[in-house]
Amino acid sequence: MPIYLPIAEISMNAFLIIGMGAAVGFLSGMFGVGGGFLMTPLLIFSGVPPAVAVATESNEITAASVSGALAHWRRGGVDIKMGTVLIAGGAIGSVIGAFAFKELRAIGQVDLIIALAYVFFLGSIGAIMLWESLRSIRRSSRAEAQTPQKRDHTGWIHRLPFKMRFRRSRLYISALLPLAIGAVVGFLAAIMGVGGGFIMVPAMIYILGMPTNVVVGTSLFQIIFVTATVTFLHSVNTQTVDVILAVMLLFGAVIGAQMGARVGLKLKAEQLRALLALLVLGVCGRMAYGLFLRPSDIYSISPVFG
Amino acid sequence: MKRVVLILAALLAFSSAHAAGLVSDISERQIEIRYSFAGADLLLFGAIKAPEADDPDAELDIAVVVRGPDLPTVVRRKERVAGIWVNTDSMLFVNAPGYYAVASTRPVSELAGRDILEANEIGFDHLQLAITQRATPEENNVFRQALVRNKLRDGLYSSSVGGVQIREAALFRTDVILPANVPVGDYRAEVYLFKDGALLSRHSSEINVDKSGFERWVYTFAQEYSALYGLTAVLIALISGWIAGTVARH
Repeated sequence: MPIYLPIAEISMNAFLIIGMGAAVGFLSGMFGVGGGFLMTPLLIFSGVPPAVAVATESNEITAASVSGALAHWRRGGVDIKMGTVLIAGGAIGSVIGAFAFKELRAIGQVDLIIALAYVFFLGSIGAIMLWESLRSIRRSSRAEAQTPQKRDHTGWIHRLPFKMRFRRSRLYISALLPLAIGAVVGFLAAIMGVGGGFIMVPAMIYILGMPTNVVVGTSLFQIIFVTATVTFLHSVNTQTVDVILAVMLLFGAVIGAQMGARVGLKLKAEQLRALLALLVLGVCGRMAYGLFLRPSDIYSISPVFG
Repeated sequence: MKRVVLILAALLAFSSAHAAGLVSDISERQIEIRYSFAGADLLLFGAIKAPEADDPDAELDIAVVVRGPDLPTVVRRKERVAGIWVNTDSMLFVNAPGYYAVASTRPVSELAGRDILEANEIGFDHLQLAITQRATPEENNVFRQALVRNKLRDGLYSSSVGGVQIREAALFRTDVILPANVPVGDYRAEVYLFKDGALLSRHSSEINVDKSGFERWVYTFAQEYSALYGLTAVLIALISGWIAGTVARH
């Protein structure tokens, strides 16, 4: 059943769109990740213009994060104060990102930058995750009990000004840190069409030293607001948000996520992380392949963007 | 059957009007892009009245050009920079037709002299494609060929020798295929009648391609009230996310 997408200006099979939403939803439910880093490349590979893929995916992530954040909210897993500082940073980052996105599109380099950002971030994060999970699989097979190292904030991090107390996270740290992390995430959200959880969650644990029970909820809380800002900015700057596409993807994702979550419960955490790492590296490899492969036609055409 | 009736009707209408040498019509003049739009196949048909019907040796040729709105289009060239393919040089064509289909009874270059073909922009080689920057004719030509090649690949340009058939030296027809990615706007279908290399007559008709219904509404909303559209998109996401979360809980 072909359906014409009014903003993407292409005709796509409706079942394919819902199917992609369901497949990515399944994986994100299974691994507990947002799935933007999978959905945006998938949309690009299936012929959606990269700019539309990025902007539309932001819109879908807003919706997906609301349902996720609500679940964490109910069990008190959201640090509102920390989230607010992260959002403030995210707002700055996404404004810069959306502006850069518009300029890059006008000079014809946005597709390249999207691909490079994916290769860099997915490559490095996938490699770290794989290494870390393989190590812990080996360790658990040797049945060595290991206590995670608690990060102590010594040195430069402790000397930063504008210290704030975050009660729920039991932290007393400089507000500049979460502000900077939020800004990086906001920038990436605007350029890559992702929520940015894959950067923010490790940063919250390893840089800020937040307790794990508030990390995911607070990151989802921040993602709602940042992707909403990004959606709005892309709508105003480049008119690339396809609501029809976003709603159809979400429909598939909701169904897929439920099934994925059930499967995820049956697997061990280290195994899940290793699988996720391989998936991340796979997407990275596919993106890199597109960059290095000689295009079938080295000339391309595009409309003029103001 | 409907098409045959249309052709016959056109012929009947034409036999009473004797002044013109050519008449044509299209099966559809208003193309509406709706949610189920996957392209449109049109039939362009017409009739010829040769001035000397009793001259059996006269070589009659028809060319049909269907042309969409002119759109500024950038052609970019990739080069390998540090191992990866990066857009480097580019050329802006200020008035490239968004859609261009030419069908003719013979290869375009054999229809008439270059000046006639250029004046009427019949065939890819005779399009008047203006550029704004300085470029050598060779460079210009390379980018021009690349523009046509890309548009052909997208199905937005086409050329078909033998795509028009003349029957009984009087009736002709051709298929016009609009793919799903056609730009919206005013289209013009131009039929040219050649006799022994001279342009004898021409007839034009108009087609309008526009988004309609809900698709049109969404598109216009996004373009003209983009801030409100953005807020609506966010609101839809928040509500559907909330519904999804509530449903998933039960």
